[in-house]
Amino acid sequence: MGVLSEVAHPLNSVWKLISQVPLFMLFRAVDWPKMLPINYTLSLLYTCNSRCLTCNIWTKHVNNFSVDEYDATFKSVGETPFWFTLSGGEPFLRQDIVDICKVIYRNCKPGIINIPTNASLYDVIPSAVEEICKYCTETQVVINISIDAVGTRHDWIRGFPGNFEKAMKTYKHLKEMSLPNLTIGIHSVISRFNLEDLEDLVNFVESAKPDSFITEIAEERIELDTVGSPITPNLMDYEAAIDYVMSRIQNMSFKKIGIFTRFFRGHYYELVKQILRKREQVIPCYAGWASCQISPDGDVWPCCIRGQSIGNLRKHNYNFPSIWFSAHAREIRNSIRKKECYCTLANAHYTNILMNPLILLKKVPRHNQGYYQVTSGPPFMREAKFKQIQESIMRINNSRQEMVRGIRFKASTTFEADARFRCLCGTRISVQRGQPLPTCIQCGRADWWRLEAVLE
Amino acid sequence: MRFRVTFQFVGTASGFPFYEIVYADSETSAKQIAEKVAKKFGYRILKIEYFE
Repeated sequence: MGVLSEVAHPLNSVWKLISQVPLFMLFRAVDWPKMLPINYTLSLLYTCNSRCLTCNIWTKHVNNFSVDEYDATFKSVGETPFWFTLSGGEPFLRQDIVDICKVIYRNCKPGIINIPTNASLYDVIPSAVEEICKYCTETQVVINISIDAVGTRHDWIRGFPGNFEKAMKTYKHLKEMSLPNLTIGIHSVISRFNLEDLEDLVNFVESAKPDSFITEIAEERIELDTVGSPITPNLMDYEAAIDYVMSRIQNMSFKKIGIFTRFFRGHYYELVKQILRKREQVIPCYAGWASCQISPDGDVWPCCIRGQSIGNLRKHNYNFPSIWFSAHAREIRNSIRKKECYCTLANAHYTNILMNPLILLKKVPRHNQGYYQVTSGPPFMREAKFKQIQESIMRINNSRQEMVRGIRFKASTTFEADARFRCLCGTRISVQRGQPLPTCIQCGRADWWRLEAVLE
Repeated sequence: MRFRVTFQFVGTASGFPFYEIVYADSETSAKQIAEKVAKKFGYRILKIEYFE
């Protein structure tokens, strides 16, 4: 009874949601009936106070949507959304985040509002969350605190000294509030930088007793500007890591929405392993049909991995359906349907699993506790791998230092090796040795932000 | 000379083409540079064309 009463409100919407599954299947197969998405990710801003090794989103600057613009947009979708994720950047850097949640609740009455955060703003977050929970009474509010390792290791990965300590302060405050519709979770990104920290991390999670604990694999995303960065662990490492995490969390007890999250996550982790192995869509992807993302300046994307805009809400008078059912949207959907892309994006996979209910009948294997090896293979391979990781860290640190010191690569400079450069606008060029560095063909800047690689 | 090289991701966001400009003195050098980029960043080269 306790568990049921805690999740009663979202459960009402769940039944409504399940009844829509056959309609979405039809929509994907024959483009009829026209359905609006149920899962929205709103990227509220690109600004962030963290400098994570796995994300460069903070380098982007756009004109963010206002509360009124969100209001106009969500009036056009009515009560169709079930799940909102308010991401960023750091969502709580927006002073109007409470108003945005109120607008969402007033127009859409979603079952879940999920806010991932680095939890550094310990003097702002608890009061904001309290106000959101008290206003959105029929919605489960999920606050997912990002923790990638323990103590200073976390601070190093996040590029933010003191982040772990501040996040713990926020976590403690949120726990003390004990609001009925608040779920406090811990969210970890598994990247090449924290494979060796997993044991400490899971020990910490066990002692912190969050309502839910989820992990996600570090991915190369257009949105995060990480395509080409060496952040994703290889299949062997990821399998070992996730099996270890699974073996530990199956003995933990979660609360509220965390119970359902764990159920879905078990299937999701198995899917990720299969996707990394097969390098293709393992189950049909519903990004572009049942899930979408809206960028801070109003671009509507099917997902953040492709980051392809199907239209801008400002140009369409904040009418979401007119973008969603446009010819361009159909083109991108066709490409997804033809399996021209694949990814392990967790948010989209929640809807994918829901839309492929047969997968839920499969039993998630139980994992034996206690076995975990960072890298399989003989010692010389491990050594080579360690060196490779170290080099990639050095490369990232060097480019950060260059940026901090303001060192730029000026146009018309020549180099003694073939090299690839990146402009602040995102454009990349490659230049043969001895050829003068040009100005950026996209934005005309005369200095290049970063030397991406020396091509040997 | 400028060459436009169309790449395709073979990493986690595969199947979706994009192009980059390569500055080189000949098409052969541009091709060599494009191959190095493709190898280093895990791309597939779709085409190389002279870009005015």
